Amino acid sequence: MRAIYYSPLIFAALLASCGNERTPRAAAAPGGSVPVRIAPVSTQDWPAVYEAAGTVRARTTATIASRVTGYVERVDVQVGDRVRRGQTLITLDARDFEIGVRSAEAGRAEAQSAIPEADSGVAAAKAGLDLARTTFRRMEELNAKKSISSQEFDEASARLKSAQANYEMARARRVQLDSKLAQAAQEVESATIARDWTRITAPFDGIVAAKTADPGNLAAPGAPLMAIEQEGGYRLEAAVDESRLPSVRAGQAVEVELDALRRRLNAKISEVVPAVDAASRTYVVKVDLPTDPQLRSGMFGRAVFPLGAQRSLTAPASALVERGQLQSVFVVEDGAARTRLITAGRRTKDAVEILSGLSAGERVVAPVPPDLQDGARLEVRP
Amino acid sequence: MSAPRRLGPAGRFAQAWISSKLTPLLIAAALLIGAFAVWRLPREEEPQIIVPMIDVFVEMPGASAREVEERVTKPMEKLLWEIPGVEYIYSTSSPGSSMAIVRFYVGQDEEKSIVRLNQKLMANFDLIPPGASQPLVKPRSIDDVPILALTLSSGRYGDFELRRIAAQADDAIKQVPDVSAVTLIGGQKREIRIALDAAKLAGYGLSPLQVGGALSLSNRRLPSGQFAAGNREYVLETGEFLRTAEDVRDVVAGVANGKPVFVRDVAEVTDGGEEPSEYVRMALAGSRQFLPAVTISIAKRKGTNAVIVADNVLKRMDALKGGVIPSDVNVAVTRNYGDTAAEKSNELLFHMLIAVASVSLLIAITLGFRESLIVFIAIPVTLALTLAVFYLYGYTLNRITLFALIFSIGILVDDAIVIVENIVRHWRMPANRARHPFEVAIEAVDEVGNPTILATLTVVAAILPMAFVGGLMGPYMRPIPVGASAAMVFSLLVAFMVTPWAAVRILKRAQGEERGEREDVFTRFYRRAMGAILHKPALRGGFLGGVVLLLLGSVSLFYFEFVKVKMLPFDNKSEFQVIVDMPNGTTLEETARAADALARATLGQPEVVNLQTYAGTASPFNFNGLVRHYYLRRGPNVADIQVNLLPKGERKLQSHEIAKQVRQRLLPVAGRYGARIKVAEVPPGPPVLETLVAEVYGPSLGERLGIARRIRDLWKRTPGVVDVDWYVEDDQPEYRLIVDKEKAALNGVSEDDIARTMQMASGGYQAGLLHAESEKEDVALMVRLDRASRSDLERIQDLKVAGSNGRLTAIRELVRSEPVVVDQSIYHKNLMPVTYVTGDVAGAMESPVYALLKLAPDMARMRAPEGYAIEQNMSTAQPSGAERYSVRWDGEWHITVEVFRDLGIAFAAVLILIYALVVGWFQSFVTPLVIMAAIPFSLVGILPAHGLMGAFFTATSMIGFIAGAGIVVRNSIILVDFVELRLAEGMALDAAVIDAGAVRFRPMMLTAAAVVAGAAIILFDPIFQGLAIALMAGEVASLALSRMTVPIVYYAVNLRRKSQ
Repeated sequence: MRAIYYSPLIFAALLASCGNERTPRAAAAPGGSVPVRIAPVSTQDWPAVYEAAGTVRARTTATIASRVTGYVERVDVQVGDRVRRGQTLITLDARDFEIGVRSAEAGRAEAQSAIPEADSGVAAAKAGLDLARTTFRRMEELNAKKSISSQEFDEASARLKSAQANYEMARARRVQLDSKLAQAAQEVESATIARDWTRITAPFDGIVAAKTADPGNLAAPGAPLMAIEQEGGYRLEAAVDESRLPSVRAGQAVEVELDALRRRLNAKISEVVPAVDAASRTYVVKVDLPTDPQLRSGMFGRAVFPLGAQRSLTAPASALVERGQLQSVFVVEDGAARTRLITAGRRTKDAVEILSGLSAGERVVAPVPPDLQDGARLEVRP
Repeated sequence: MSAPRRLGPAGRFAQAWISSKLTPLLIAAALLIGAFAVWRLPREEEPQIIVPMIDVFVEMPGASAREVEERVTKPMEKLLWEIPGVEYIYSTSSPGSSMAIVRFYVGQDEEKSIVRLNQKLMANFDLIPPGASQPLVKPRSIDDVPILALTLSSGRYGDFELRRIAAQADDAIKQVPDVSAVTLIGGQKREIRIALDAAKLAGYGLSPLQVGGALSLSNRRLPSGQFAAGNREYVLETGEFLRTAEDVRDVVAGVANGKPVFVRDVAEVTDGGEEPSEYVRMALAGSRQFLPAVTISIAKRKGTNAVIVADNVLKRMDALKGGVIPSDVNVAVTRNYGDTAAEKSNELLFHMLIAVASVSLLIAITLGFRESLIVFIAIPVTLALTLAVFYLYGYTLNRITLFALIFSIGILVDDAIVIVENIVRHWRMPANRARHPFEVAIEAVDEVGNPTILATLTVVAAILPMAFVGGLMGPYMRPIPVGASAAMVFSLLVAFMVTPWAAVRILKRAQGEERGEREDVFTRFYRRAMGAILHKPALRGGFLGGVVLLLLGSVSLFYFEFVKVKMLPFDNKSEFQVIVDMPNGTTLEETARAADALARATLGQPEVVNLQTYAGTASPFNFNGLVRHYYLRRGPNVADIQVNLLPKGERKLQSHEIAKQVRQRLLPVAGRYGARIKVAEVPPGPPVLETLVAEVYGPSLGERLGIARRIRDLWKRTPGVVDVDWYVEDDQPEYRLIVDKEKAALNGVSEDDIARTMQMASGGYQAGLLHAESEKEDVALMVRLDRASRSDLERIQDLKVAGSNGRLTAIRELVRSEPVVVDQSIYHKNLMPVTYVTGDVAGAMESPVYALLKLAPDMARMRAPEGYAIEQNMSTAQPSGAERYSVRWDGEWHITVEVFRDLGIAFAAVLILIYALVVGWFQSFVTPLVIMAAIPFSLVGILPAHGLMGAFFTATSMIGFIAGAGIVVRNSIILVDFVELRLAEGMALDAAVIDAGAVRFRPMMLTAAAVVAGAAIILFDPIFQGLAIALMAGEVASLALSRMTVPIVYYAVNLRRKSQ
């Protein structure tokens, strides 16, 4: 009975005894000190730059077209192939031109075959002439001696003249034949050249930049079949905003960053196209690029125009600890490493711009040893 | 007396129950009900005050603060002000957004308030100006306050992994019954970051907006209807979502030169943590190592028991450990209100037990062991029934309700004592020897029945008016009048029902042999002294004058600041927060750095167990934070430090002392970083904006700022005033890009394009979600410029926009930038423009009352621009107009004024009620005045006792004083009643009054002793100390003084009357 009187209170006492839990984890500070190198955070000049996007283009580009009309028979190169001067690029169907060559050759052979006959004609005329001249000389002597009649002399004289004419004629025929032969040879040559035009070759060492011809196409004179860019001479054509005009002039040195090559090239502005494109408020600046075997036209590049310098806080790149988008450094404070959250801006190979979280003169751990933790004691090595 | 007479109501009541078999059953039933109530009542540390509070947000992008004020805030405020029940509207007009906090009167129905507000806004949607968003309505209530905070931290895992672990745990925690909002704070969410390369975009002739558009357009899948074939229905669906970062890379962003350009060509796509906008770090006292942390804060549903919810969540978490939560992730419970509630309520229930035991012990010593057993039955039954009332009333078991019980133990025991004592006395009477004990007992009950009823009613009359105190404090302490009144009524019932029943069964009749009225030496001295004073008018006047002088002397202790007034004293909690505000324009990392340094300095305090720093966001808020709207704190220049202390038992210092020491440690550090700090302790009662608040009203913003600046500087100079701050933002540089409209039009570019491009570049554009199905949290596709490119105004302008002709134009060509200063927010309170200056008091002054008394004269010298003195408003009402410059004191002062004013009114009501009751009893208009003359005498004890204990005279002291008035009057009634009885028996007036003081002193002393014994345990509570001091000291003083004073005054009054 009495227990009942106490019951709410006992119940209360029971409640009081339960439900008191605490996490006892209070890890001790890291024991030994970690040897590190440190570097100061300093204010440094960062180049203020303006970047203009552009495209790499070759300085010399040949657009290849056929001289003759004909069906494309074979294309020997593909876009991007490197070609040597004279290398065959496209072969057209040459059958028409073969026929021309052959008929010219036939003409030449015919002319040639007439030569011996003409030669013998000349020889015969020459023999006749010689005979007529000998006869005439004898008749002349005889005439002087008046041993022959004038009739006979006149006859001999006439025979000589006729033989002479004969000979002249034979000779003329021979000469004519020669020129005919020369003509035939000419024809052969021109037919050969025409035939050779069906084999289109590279005009210089370069790279195939474009190709429109495929076997079966009809190539007509003037229609571009292929574009070849001369190797070695590239430039960047960048569109620069109108308001940047004052800071850009021809001859100025600029850096060109090529993302594909992951490289920066030192280049020089060769030309500032004087007209502004009203549609985009830009004008084109041409920057000559140094020779580089990996350059290709059409590559994306940025011209980096210097605008001056900007003072920014800078820390060594090796001090930066990145975890996802969380950026931090270890600051040395009272001989211990302290995690300091920062935001990093621009970076170079060995420096990083600090946008927030650090002040000049602070010392950071760089490089960061693996597993360095907040609060670790540090032993600074020179 | 011995002659049988008609029984009074008490006697009849006792007669019915004294021999009934139902009585023990009822006792058992009452105790069971009490046990049930204890079991079922939700536990809390502090009572929940229902203050409907609703935040309304409206966005108006691009508008200046002034425009927002005129276009959005003012019309909205006017509408909201029409809603009945609204007490305050605090509004903030910032550039581009407007926020109004609508606070309803305390105790207004939450649902009704929300419905009314929503209805009012909905009905006026047609008034929303173009460019402004629809209002976002967020009700806030005490139930949003997280009861449990778990902080996951690890040396191995980073913010990103911890967030993912926490998100997984969140799922499991949500399944626990009665869990309400679960919030993750800190860590990095997963995000697909699409960092655009401005130059590459330009190279391909694409604009950032095109990429954003392409991304959101290719992330589609739509149900496309169905078709039927072959008697079957087939469902069609078109499109496919982006599911991996690889999918995102392969999205075609546009076409350049007849070739597709992929996202990977123009942007770097990374799958990882989002760009940090908040840093949460945890440090344990021992290690001083700051670990990445994620806090999971858990709120409970309304009306559920925090203890049970917290326990269940912790059990669930334990099950996750080793599985979802790797063993090298430390899970720390950084807040457990369930635990503190259980601890507090168990402690108080234990205190209740002690109070009951000590009162019983007192009875055992003074009356006897068996008598004490009866009391030991009567009190639990009364308390059990009162607990049942709490349960039915919807109260919870918290420090206030339990104190109401503990406090009433000392008073309610009196009824039992009176009955027991009288039964014993009657049994001992020789005339009753032969009679049946039951009959005698009933007679004894009946004899004291009516005075007991009157006495009980007097006490109820003294306590109950306090239930009508308004403001935040009213509902906070309402359980005291309600509980104590209920306890008094029950004690009366028990005294007539249970006590006689138990007395006749427990008390031994033969026990007392005839004990003569032997008087001790004090009583004999009393009789002699009284005889002398009564008969010499000079001595009589001198004595009364002396008493009045004593009273005046006690009251003058207020003036000499020997006793200090403070609404509520400082509590002893195991947590506090440090609120850090960096100048506007500080980067998040710099803020984190300052928070870090402050946290390190805090760790130097040996009582600190652990702390969490929340940079860029708010820590899990408490009720204080709810009222102060700390949960809205967000941005790179704010930080919170949540400091958890050793449990109360394990440290010597009180939390307030620790907070003061920490403030001293922090001030130099804060000065180094230019941070403004506030050490925010959990207030013991209703929270306010800040302890000291000066609201500066006036027509011009500039002048208001000037006045506020002078006030701020004055406060900063004043020792004892700390954490001075004002609601004025520092100038923050802003660049405004102004679009050259003609040029833009020529290029076919709209301003919107430019604005959106800039927004995408620097703020980021969320191009939809990554549809990774198993992901717990949303994974945003965030299109943004990389950090290096957007950290420079020059470079960010290199971005291009596409014109209508498809050509790209650099933004630089179309805009010019202009440096300006960000608009300052404009604050309104109840529609009046206001500038706040806030501060706290610590050190030299601990109570805002004295700070105000010290500051007010200096501030009174300040002049408005027109030359008139700036009026200072000390009342609870706002100034009548904003045309003149004026300063109103708010903060704790407001509540202090409100509470002491209401308690004063309650006290006046108490006096009138008591007067009416006593007039009814004595049928005289004068006698009650004599009786009530004793009330002020308690002050003679109360005030010096406060001074000697070094305690503040607080609201609880005032409650003690008022409640004490009931007991004091009851003593006086006993005295005067006895005098009138003796007079009726024909005794001379002087003999009668002396006899009364001599004979009735014993029960009076017993009552006082019971009150002292019952209240003694309350002395150990920092908040209710004042109540205990007031009750104990007031009771003792009035006992000592009224024994002589009341008879003397009665004698003097009646002597004159007789002589007339």
